Amino acid sequence: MTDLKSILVKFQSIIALLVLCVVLTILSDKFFTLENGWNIARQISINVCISVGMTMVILTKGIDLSVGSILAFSGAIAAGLLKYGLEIPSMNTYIGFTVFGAILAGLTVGGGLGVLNGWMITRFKVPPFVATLAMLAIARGATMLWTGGFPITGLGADFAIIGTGWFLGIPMPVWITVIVVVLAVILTKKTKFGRHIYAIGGNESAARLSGININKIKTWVYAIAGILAAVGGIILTARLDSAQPNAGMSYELDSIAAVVIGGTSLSGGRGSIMGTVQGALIIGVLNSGLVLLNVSPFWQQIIKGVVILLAVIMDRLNHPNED
Amino acid sequence: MKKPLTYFLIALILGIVAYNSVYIKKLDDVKKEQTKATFDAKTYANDFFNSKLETVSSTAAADFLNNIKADVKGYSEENGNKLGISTDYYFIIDGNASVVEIEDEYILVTLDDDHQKMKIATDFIFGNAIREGTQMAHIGDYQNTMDYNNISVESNNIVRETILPPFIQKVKKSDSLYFKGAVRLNTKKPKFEDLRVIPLVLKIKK
Repeated sequence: MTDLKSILVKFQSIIALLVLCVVLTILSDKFFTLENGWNIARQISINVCISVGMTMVILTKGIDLSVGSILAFSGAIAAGLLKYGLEIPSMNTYIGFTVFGAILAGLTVGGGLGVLNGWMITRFKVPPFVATLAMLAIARGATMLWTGGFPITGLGADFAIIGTGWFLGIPMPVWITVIVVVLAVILTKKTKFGRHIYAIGGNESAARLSGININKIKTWVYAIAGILAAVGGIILTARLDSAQPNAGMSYELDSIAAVVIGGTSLSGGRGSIMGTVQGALIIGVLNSGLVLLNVSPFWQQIIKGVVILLAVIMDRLNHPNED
Repeated sequence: MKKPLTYFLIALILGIVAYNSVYIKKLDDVKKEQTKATFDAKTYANDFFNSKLETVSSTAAADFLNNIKADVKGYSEENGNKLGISTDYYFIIDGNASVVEIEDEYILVTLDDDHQKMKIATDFIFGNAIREGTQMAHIGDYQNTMDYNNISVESNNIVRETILPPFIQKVKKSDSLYFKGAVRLNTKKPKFEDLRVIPLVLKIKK
């Protein structure tokens, strides 16, 4: 009996996902189709990228509320540089950016803002909630300044491929997401860095005493979260062929939801990247199903909230002794 | 020996990355290119109204109303223009009519052909109905959607500033007139009584 319970607990996300798929297949004949499958995969790819970074942050007992804004800013930077380049009138010089250069700039900005988050948290001991909340506002304001409040559109076919292209019959965003997930799984499960992340989240004092450079690991984790938010921003910008100043609003909440539903503990030290992928899948499938069933958007919000709450309650019941 | 090699490799990688990331030009040259390539929506819309509008084919308003009421979806799909996956269809219609009422937002007319009533918009002018109805521009031809949107804005301005004011000054109840204009209809929720013609040509007949 205990074995069965432990199996159910271990695979609760997959079981929930399967049950959800079966129910939606029965209720809607449009759900279980290849086209809808690719739609869901494309839609969740951005959330998965962000959530992978968020998982690492939460594993260290942190939180990153700025991912949505970093996503918007990075996407806007990439789009702006690609479209308009940089002008240096005093030197009569124009620096144009290739697609590769624009992407690199977006990723660098995302990583830079992540480092700034990490620095505020480790150097000045600002609580992660507050530091990243501040970054949420700063990055959003910076996006508005950079774009002037208007979308940057017409980024060209080469850039659009990232968001709308297909390779070997699979959408490009899905390829990017798979690469991100594989690298993150290797990083968290097979490297010293990954073990340090779990150690810090499990017991920070013990980790410090055992010689782990807490500040360095945390800063890296926030940097990775920033870079992955930028990856999401570039995919979104390419998919829409425009950088919207209000892109990524409330993405941080979807991301936290995916992490929590995927079984990662908000107390840190327990969870996995694959769990988060399952969490993002559950949210994506739920979103798709509710739309196909013509459920009012207001009810959709409520249902999603209830699912998140249930996931946390289940987690608490399964781990009653956790802080 | 190891350190200089490392620095050399880092510099080499950075160099390759930079070479593939950016290109440098003289700012003056870029500005010149940009000036050449700048799209002027105002000129484009004016050219269209001055020289191409007459060639835009239209359907007799009475025929349009009869056909659209009989089979809104089929008629729209066959004869209307739409943007992307929208269910809003746009048409160009024309006709002779008599003025019944002059309201703040529209002029109500009776068609000479079969006495059906239509509204000619005089307040809320939707440039996109003109753009889509006449097919004066196609979104795929524009890399910058702002340029595409500006065509709609400029069309709106032309109607508002040059077509409507002289007409509104002169028009009276019972006047006979000729009109040609764009109509938008949502095929999902068609409201025939709310159809308004966005005027492109308005002539009061003596």
